[in-house]
Amino acid sequence: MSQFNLSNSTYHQLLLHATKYFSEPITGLLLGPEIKNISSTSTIQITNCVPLFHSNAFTLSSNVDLALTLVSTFCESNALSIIGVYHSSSNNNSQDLPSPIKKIGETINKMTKTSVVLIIDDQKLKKGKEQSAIKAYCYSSKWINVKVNSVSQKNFKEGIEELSNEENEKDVLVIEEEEEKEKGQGKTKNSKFLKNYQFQIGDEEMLVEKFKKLLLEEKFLQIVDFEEHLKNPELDFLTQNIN
Amino acid sequence: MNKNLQILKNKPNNWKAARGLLREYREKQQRNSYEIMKYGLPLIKKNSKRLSKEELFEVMEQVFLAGLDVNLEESNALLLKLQKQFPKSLRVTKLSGLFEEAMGHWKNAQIIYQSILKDNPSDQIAQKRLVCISKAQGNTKLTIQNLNKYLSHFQGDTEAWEELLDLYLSQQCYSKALFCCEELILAEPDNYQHHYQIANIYYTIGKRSDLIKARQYYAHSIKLLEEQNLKSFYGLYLTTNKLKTLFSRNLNQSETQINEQLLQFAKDKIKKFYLQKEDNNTKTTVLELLEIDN
Repeated sequence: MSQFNLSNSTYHQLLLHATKYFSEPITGLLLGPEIKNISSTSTIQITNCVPLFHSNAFTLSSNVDLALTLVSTFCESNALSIIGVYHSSSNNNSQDLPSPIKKIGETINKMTKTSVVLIIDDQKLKKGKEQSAIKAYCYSSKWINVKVNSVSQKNFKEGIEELSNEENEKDVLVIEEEEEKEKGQGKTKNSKFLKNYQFQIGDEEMLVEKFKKLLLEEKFLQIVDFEEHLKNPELDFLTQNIN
Repeated sequence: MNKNLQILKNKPNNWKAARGLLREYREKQQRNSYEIMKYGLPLIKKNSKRLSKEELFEVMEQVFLAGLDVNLEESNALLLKLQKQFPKSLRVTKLSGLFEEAMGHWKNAQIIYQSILKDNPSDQIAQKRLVCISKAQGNTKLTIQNLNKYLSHFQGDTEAWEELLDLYLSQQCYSKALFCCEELILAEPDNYQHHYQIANIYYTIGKRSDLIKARQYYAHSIKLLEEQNLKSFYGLYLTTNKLKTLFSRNLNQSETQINEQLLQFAKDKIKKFYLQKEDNNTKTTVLELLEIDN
């Protein structure tokens, strides 16, 4: 099965981006080490994120094109690739997966043959009931919600074996192969191995504790996103020096 | 970095710097809620005697507004103090409406604003807040309707036009978004941001004639402001590049020449922006990208 692993530091960085611009919709890209031959049993790591926008700029393709071009140039020289996109709308009640975000995800899918969309749901961070605040969506002809599994990083390998031994269908989403409708794009050839997905993050309690610590240290003030960079070109948006 | 902020980082108790910072934010109407609460609250609690009465209440209002974002308890306490001091004030009533909104008590907030409108039917702020409530409740279509109604009474409100623009963009109604942008340009023809924004929308629509319009608007934005307008140079670069790669067949010789000149002009200016700065990942990446295209 295809497995996505989100590193703790990336998880924190995207929440810090959302914290800094709490009243705006935020968007950013997810990066991970380059995989030369994606197969049905690949483990795809998400190790970095690049915050992009804190406004409705993500709806305009001029901004998105520019950001994707710059980030993919950066990736090429650093053996990384763009794995997906994250987003958080300013409004709790609004539609889960806005169509401009779907479009960005599909563009990434064309580029790297694998794509994940993370939506930040900050309601899950309410006091006393803290849990992981993200929803994951993977692409196979359409966007499908995938359950986020929290696994303690120490017992990571054991955890995977446990899950596969139990054959727990609730944790693993099985997508039936759809009829390959010719759309003239190469992606339908790859839809075979994007059949089963799993999305893993680290231990939930530890993640929340660390996040609280980062908030106290005011680390969110140090996040620089692409929009910020355009106002002050001396700031670097491609690497965040947090943690 | 802001001078006052720098002082406060080393000496967080410096009341003069705190007062200066809050004055700046009041003038520019910036919503830096975290900083306002962090440095404004101690100013009110420990150094209130250093401020004139007038300024003290302005700061209390400012910290109250910041608290709606970061610390509702403090906002509540400040609201009670302000209500005690100004019992029949319209301004304080509006603040209480904002507090209800921040708590998510939409009906209570609506009641407050509607009672204001009973006595003051042309009160702009109360009408605006009613529109904001429908936005906060998540009903975008109703919000667009209400905002259009509001704008039919207050056509000069550029903030409202910007909000409507944002709402149309979130629904991808690009032609209506263009209309809002045009209103903004009519109202503020020298504001480079509006020209930049309308160029973005034309680029997004993406046909050849739209790209040419986008190019014109990016160029106009640059004409209005060159120094801090890196984003318009990027826009010009993207547009001329796209015209070159996708629509080269549809351009005659003189058009191709103009396009090429603008493309080079944009690239050179972008390079200049970065060459003066320190080395970092972004600078390296941008310079790399511009070389690849060459």
